[in-house]
Amino acid sequence: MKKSAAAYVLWLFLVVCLYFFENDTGTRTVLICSLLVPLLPPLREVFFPKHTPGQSEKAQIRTDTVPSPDEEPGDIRPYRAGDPVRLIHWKLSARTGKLLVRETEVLPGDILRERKNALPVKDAGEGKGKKLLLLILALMLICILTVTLLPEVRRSAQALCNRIFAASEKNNAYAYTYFPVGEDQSILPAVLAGIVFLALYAAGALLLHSRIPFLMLAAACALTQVYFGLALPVPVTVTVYSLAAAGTAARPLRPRAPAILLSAVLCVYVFTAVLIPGRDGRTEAASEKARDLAARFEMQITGLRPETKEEDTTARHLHHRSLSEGMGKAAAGREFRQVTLEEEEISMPSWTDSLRVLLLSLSALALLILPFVPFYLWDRRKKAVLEKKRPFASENVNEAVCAIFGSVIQWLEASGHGAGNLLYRDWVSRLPDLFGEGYRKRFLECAMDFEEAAYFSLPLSEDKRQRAMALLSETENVLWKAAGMKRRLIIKYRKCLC
Amino acid sequence: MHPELEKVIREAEKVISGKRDIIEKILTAMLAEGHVLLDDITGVGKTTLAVALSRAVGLSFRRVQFTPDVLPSDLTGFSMYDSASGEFIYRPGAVSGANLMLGDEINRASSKTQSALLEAMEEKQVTVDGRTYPLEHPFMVIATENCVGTAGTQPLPYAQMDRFLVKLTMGYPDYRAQMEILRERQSEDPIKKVSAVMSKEDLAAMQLSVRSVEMTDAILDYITRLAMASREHSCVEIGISPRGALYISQMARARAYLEGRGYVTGGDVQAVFGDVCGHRILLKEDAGCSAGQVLSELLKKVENPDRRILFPGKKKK
Repeated sequence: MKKSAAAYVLWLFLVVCLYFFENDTGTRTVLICSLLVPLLPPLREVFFPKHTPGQSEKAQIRTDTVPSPDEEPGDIRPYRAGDPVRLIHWKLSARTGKLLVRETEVLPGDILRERKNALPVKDAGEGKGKKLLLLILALMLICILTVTLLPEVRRSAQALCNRIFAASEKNNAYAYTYFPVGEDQSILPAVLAGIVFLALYAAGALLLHSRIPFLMLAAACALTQVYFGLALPVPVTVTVYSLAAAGTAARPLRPRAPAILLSAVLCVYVFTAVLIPGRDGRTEAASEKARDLAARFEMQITGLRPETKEEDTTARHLHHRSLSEGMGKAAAGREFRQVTLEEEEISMPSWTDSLRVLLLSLSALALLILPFVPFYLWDRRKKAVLEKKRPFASENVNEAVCAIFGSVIQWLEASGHGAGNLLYRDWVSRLPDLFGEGYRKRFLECAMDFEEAAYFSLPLSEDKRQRAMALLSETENVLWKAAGMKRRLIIKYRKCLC
Repeated sequence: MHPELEKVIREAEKVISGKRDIIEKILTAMLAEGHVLLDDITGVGKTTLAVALSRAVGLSFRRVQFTPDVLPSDLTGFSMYDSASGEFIYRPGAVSGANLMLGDEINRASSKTQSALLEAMEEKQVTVDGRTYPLEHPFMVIATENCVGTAGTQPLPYAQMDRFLVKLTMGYPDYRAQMEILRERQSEDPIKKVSAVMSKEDLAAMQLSVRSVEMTDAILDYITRLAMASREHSCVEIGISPRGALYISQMARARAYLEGRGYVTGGDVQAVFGDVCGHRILLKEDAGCSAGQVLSELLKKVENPDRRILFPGKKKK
């Protein structure tokens, strides 16, 4: 739930920014649609679904541990040995005569099961998925290389940029420096490459099972638009942002979600196109001022002096942009001056230009990927933890006891209370005062259970597993209570169950 | 703790107070069908302990005080010409008919006597004049060595020490135990208070079941790694022999049985390691450390099986 809300807020911020700088029918449609999301129940369902079984938002499950009486209670299942007693649904148990537990609390085994339900790809084709992801990354790289290195494709990309500039110029008062390519240059290769790139990106994002790549894509799009003052044709705007939004819908996707989204966007589009078309003068003026301010600020920072005179900036000015010139000097591209028809010739891009473009593309790609690296790592860690906890619920109690006890040992070691190469039953004497007498007794019991589990072929009884689980949770509690801020972060990371 | 063996220990403790661990160790060696070398000063109760144990377990007891002129035939027996029947008849020696034999000051015996005893220990039989006589079953030797006053002694060669399962030291009793000894000896000989709580058949059966104590590969791996590490240790000339490793496993099994467990743990191995291997490693002349130090260092250094089982991937340097 928290994640959905955060994603929504981020999205809204993007869209408002976009609307502020490029206010036209398209961005207005996007903005209205976004604002409608929490208000219209069907739309809300798509992005913030209520808790349903097999849903991956753990945080949400945890928040509503107490189901209201009239509500359908969360998952109820028969009591299994090892379930915490506090999870027992006493009311229902009394009614049915059997012990029933709520599956609202996330138990190690349950998380696993839930994840399995929710994210089939992740669990099933683990290695395959990773390989696929790498392949996609490689293909994306190839795409970029193709665009930057093959002259034909590069020219076509420049032609595409020219088209976009031309389209933008119709909508705003900026003049763009066009790339020196012929009018008849085909844009097909660049369009194809772009489509392939986007498709690959979308595939990778879907494979990651994260909404962040889509958010990042929308952000990248919006920032590019704002920075370069590009105004895309209305249908393009609507399509691009709708697709990005669809990517951020809650998983697992409901079958009706695309239809709901599509109809909502269409309705709003028709509404805005008919009732409030065109640009909003006041917003336009405000955004112009903001651009001016930003430009001045930028020039102060970069030390570049505007070639324009004072009266020019106050007048409605023309925004000059040149991709090939500007990007080398980062912010330097923002210059204000009267654009005359006999604009200076742009020198043919030399190989250094290609290099620049390549580097920029790579850094753009890095920008698109880097933000997820922590998430990816976190996710991997989480998976590793779950994987480690898998044997806890194993049929084989011996294996389970070993695994649980091993986890206790890891906890102690991680918090610096380990006794190294001592036999675990001897660790008792090395435990710090933090652990009380009772804990030591239980630790010793579990250490002996562990020895029996490890060195004896006879299966242990089920209560040994519970004893070990109890020890594990006690260990975690004690360490958590004793931990300082930094240590708690480490513990949180180790547990990965936030 | 195994209930019956616990009783044995209780009985023996009536005589030797404050020495529970050594009683346990000797009992363990007994269960492992091994022989014990007691390396100690005189008068700390070696004989008393052996007698008490043999009484509690219900074993027949013999004692030989070794001097340089004890002959092999005194131990193994000899054939004597019987003029009446005109035949040689076999007169059994000290080792025959004994379940538990105490060989006092074995290092004072001549080397051929020593080797006769060692053969009897190893083969559990004696051969006199080409005829082989089996010894009592179970058969166990507790040999003692005196570490002071070694002048004129014949120290056991390294190869013969290897035959003993464990080498133990008793040490002085502490204050309370010493008081206890003084108090108890005032009235009567406490040995008489020891009653048999087991029979030698029971012991034989237990020795059999010790062999079926479960020992997982993790433990075998641990013993092997310990032995290998001892051979590679910088202070050690000759490390633990394969027989030594075998003895560790036997002793560990017996200890697990004594503790009433059906399986060997890493703790068993660690507990018996020092006693089994103390006399098996030969240190370099300029080693500068004792065998005990080397062994405890090995225990510290070699990754224990608990760890191996839980974290098989992590290799400790």
